[in-house]
Amino acid sequence: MWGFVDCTRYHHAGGRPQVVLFNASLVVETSERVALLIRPGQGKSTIMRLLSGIDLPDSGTVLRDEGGWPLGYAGGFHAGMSGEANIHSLALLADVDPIELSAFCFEFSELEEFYHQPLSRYSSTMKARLALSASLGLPARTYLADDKLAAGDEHFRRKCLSALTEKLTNCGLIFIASNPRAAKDVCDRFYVVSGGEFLPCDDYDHAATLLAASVEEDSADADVDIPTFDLA
Amino acid sequence: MMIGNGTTIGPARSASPGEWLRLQLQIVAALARRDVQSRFGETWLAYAGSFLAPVAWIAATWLAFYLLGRTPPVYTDMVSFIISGLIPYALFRYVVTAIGRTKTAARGLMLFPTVAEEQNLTAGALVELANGIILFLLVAGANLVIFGKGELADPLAFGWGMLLCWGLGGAYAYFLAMLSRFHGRAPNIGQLLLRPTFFLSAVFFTANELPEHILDWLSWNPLLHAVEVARDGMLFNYQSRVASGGYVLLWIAALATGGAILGLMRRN
Repeated sequence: MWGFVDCTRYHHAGGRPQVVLFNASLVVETSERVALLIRPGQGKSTIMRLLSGIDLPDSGTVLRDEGGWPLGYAGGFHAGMSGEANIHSLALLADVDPIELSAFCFEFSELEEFYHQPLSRYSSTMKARLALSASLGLPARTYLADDKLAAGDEHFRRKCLSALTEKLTNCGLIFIASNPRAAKDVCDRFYVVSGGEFLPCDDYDHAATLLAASVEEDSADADVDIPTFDLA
Repeated sequence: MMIGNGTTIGPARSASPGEWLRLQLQIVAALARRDVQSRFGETWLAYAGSFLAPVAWIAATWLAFYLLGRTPPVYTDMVSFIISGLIPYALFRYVVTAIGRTKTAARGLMLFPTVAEEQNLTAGALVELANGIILFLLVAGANLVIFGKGELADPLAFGWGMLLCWGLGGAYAYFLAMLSRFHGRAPNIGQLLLRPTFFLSAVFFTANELPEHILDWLSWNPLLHAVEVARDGMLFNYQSRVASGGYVLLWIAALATGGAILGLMRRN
């Protein structure tokens, strides 16, 4: 089970504290496919960090399940190591067979000879391809995705989405996104994060409309004084 | 399932203790290997290059002794005397630095559900222990081959002294890492506090040659005891009058307990 119980979290943006969550609650079952739609710059990564357990809320509780792997996350790779060495290291951390995962990643990523070269020689797209291959090769129970379900050219994006759809038949997804369209085909439940709350939506169209409205509201508020909070 | 303020929770691990331990060891080994590969590159030549700094440190101390006309206060050769204090001390300092570095170096890995900060700290500390042993073998071996000199009176006692230095450094760094969850600058301050220890820990002198009134003060320093335990074990003609492994163990236990309490306080 994943979620938040009466969670409050501030983050600093532009030198000012900003509310990401305020007494917010949400429960997501391990195998559910849920989209959390949020305006850019409103704390997408903060919510991801809370769900990953590397950040704690200012108050409240974050519910975390085991087996939640970040989808397409390249931040754990080391630039000085080859793609193969990075995958080998990741396999040991995930307790899966390194040779098996490496073979899968080599084939899926289509990086060819670059797979054996240091990541410092990779383009950002190549890194994303390797990261997505690694995620899709791992036995996740729930994927945590930060604004990205696929990367690369049209062929590779389709390949990723197809593999992800197949994986999602027996695992869950929490997709934190600022672009609602990406969530349309893969998620069953939609929430818009606005005003520090998770606003439940009836369906995709409702979520897209609500997110668009909150973006407009945000633009209208731009001229108004930004509220500050006493964190003492 | 217990829900507390600020607590992140998950279901209890279903794995047996043996399976859990195997996984922990595998993760620590993978992190240590990654640490070596990322810090020293993927070639042995790059790894060997990492020992240049401590070797230069030893050479500089030797040169300072030579220029000042200082002779070893113990009946032994100059290099053996220098490394009997400097290598245990370097092990202490390097493990503090390595653990302090893991927080930023391994930040990207913390998003993976199987990786915890404690595993990163352990991996960093183990890499430094291996480095310390290799450094000793390299320098003592070179001293033996080039100058035909060298001694290791009691390998077990010397190893114990090295372990105490390593454990003290690890516990101190762990305490700082946990303290940094409350105060971000704690590791920087902790590193600053270590600066004078080079002059206060019997690195380039022995505790036995200190006047009584100075020794009374310096013997509060646990690192002095750890260095003296190692020196006592290494040199044939030296028996420290203050070295106490038990005193160092008490400090290690206190720092580790303090760190664990801070970690729990932050979590809850």
